[in-house]
Amino acid sequence: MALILIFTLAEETYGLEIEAIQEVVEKPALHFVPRADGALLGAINFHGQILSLVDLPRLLGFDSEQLDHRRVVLTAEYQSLALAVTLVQRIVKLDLAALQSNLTGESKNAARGVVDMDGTLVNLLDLDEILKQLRKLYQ
Amino acid sequence: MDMSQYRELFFSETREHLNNLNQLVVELEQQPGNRETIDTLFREAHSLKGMAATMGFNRTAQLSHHLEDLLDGFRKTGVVPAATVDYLLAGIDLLEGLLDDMTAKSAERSIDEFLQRSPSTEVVLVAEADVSSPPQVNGNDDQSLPLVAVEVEPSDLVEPLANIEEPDAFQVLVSLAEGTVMASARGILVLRELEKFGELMSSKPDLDALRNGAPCQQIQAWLRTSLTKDHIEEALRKITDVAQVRFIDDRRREEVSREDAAKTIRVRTELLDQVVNLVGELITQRYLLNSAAAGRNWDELRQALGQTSRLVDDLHHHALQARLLPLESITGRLPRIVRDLSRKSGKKVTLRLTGSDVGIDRVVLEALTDPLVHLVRNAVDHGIAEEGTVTVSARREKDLVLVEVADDGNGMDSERLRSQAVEKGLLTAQQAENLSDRDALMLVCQPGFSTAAEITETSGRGVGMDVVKSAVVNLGGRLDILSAPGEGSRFQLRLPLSIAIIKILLVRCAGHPLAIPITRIDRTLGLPTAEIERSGSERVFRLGEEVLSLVSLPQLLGLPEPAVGEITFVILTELQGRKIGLEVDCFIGQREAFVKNLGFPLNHLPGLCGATVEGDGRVVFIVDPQPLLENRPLLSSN
Amino acid sequence: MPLRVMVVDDALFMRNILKEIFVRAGYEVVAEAENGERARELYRETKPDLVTMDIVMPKKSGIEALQEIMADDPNACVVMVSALGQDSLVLEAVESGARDFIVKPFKEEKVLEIVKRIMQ
Repeated sequence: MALILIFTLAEETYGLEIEAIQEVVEKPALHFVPRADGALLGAINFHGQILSLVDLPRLLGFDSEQLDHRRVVLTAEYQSLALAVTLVQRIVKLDLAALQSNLTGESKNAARGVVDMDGTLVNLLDLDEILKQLRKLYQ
Repeated sequence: MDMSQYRELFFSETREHLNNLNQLVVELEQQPGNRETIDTLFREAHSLKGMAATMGFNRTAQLSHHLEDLLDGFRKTGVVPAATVDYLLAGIDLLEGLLDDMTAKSAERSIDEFLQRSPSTEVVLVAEADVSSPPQVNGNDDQSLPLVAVEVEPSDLVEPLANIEEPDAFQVLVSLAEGTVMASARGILVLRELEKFGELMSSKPDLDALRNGAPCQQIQAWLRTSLTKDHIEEALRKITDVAQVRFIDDRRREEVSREDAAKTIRVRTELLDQVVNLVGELITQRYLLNSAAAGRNWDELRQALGQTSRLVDDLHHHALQARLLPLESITGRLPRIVRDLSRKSGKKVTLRLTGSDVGIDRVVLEALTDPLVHLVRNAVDHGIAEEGTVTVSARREKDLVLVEVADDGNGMDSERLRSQAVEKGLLTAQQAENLSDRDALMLVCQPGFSTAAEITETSGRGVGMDVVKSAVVNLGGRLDILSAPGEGSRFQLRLPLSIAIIKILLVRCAGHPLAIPITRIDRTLGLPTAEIERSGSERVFRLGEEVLSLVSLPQLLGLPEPAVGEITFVILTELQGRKIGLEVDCFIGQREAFVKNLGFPLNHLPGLCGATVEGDGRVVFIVDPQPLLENRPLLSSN
Repeated sequence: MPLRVMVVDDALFMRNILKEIFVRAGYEVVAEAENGERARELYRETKPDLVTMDIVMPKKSGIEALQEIMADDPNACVVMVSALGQDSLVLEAVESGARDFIVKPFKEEKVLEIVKRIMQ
């Protein structure tokens, strides 16, 4: 069993293993970044580190007007990126052995696969894919 | 001989001696018969006396002499009676007070009352702990106490700074306002004004130094004049940017910054030699570069450039080394603090210091002084129940220094912290439950969170822990707390070994504050907007004979153009040897900024070369206009 | 008799601002020059009590003009008007006999404060 943070991007339900998460920060002040555009919302001061805040729905092509004021800060392995999502829900225990890999091969929504959570399908977020997308944008 | 140049060194060394004295007396209290410690103590007092007498600080010299004599007596008996420890410590406190007086350039405070309380060595010998006996003066013995006046060989005595023989000559200190522009030119004008009053005997900085653009925050001048001080003060105060005029021995105003003295650091000569050598190599390298460039020899040029960048890296490394100070420069006071605290609380606390020789950047150390004292106080007050050890240690961890304050006391109960956080309404029950043990311990860093059943006079855990944490974070460091009930507590401070500080100009750009490295700025202009002309699609302005392009920084950054005012604020920078104007909304000011590196993808945005955090926590990005200008869409420049 | 001032600056805008400041303070602006060469000529003609002198100007810089004026009249009262960052030029001017300097952008009170002090 793994602990998974459940959140949504627009209408879709996503999950992320908590091992990849440093902290979920309540409403950190957003700082203006010159030349920031599109998926880069700005920067946050996270315990003295200046981190990029990424609009995840926008990066992945979702239409999400609202964003949760809580930010998901990833571990250093994932560049300590701060992610804005539509809604942060809760942490659940899920059995990843039941993970179904992405059969369609479709990677546009950056999911490593889906897993069932009491009838809701949870997309497991593929952080490597996120980084790849960002590198394409910010070379 | 002009002794003023030695003042700062005297102060910093005196501070060290006082630290040592404090530490040694506390050690002696534990081992009253340690001859080696008594000897060292005696030598410390002796050197202090010599230095103070040389500088003409007579009371400090007298008091040091008094303590030296007292200690010499103990050297003979081989033991320091317990009852004299407090007297010695009070003497050190008084010396510290005198140091404050000297630094503030005010007259030394009186030491008579203290000298009268002096315990005689003889009395102490006979009746060990009887301090209540009246002061005794013993005339037979050379080593007897107390001492009324110190005799110093006249040859050692130089013209004391605090008073000068000639009645109509005195020293005047003129301070310029903070942020004074063109301070050296202003300094010359001040000197010129001073010359009008009479004879300007000498000054620091002097005219030559100012001509060479010496920095000038304060001018110290010896003046011989028949005019009154009030008259001189009035005239000087009228000069633009003169913030304060003081006369030495004038005790009305004593708030001279004590920081100045703390800013002096001593650098090992080997290090200085290395720096000088590197600069020498760089000079040689410059010739190579010049000749390679003149001969258009690209291979040679490339090689020389490679060599230059290696030298610059080396130089940078060595320069940073010069900023390092050992941790002990701030832990010196801790033994005394622990001693006083354990006395007051009746606890038996041992302090252990390890890794005191680990070097840390001066700025980091300064910011660490109070947090460290606070952590140690907390450990004594709340960590330790009856008896225990507080350990302050430091060690290198790659690019970081780990400073740890540990105690073997009660430890902290994360479960209890959770429930308290809920009681205080800081967290919901659910949030508290989700908190890891580690995060629960960090709750003590929440402002106003306190777990101590009662808050003691000196500290309450939680009171001030938020300050400790933000001090560490502001330095680019991290605070961790490791603790469990019955296992003691460890407060770990991970700090950067050295920090990068650059000078920046803060500007407003389309309403946002931005920082620009001073090294990229030729100068700044306030240009009448009416003087800006169009040339093709470009905006241009005249500067003397030259016609320069004007580029809008907001536009370069893809931001909306600010409203046009009567004056256009322009930063003059250079692009490939050509001057170019950069328009901003306005200038906010110059300052030194501690540069934080940026993570991905911020570090991939063109022109961003770092960020700095303002006092209010606001993040301001540092923009290098160069790459932005290089990559701007080319405009026709007919 | 009111104080007689000469304003030297290549920018009409700056000259106008300074003129307004002086006129409002009850001084008489007896001459204005748009470069260093003209400044020297006009100084000889009008002998003003005070000169405000821009530094960077076409034809002849403010420093050169200052030096020439000081050579003609060692008692001349010249106040430099400079921009931020021209430290070395201002130093040179002060060395050459300028009585004081004003840094752009400046405030009216500051200008008058400096002038009053010098004219005392």
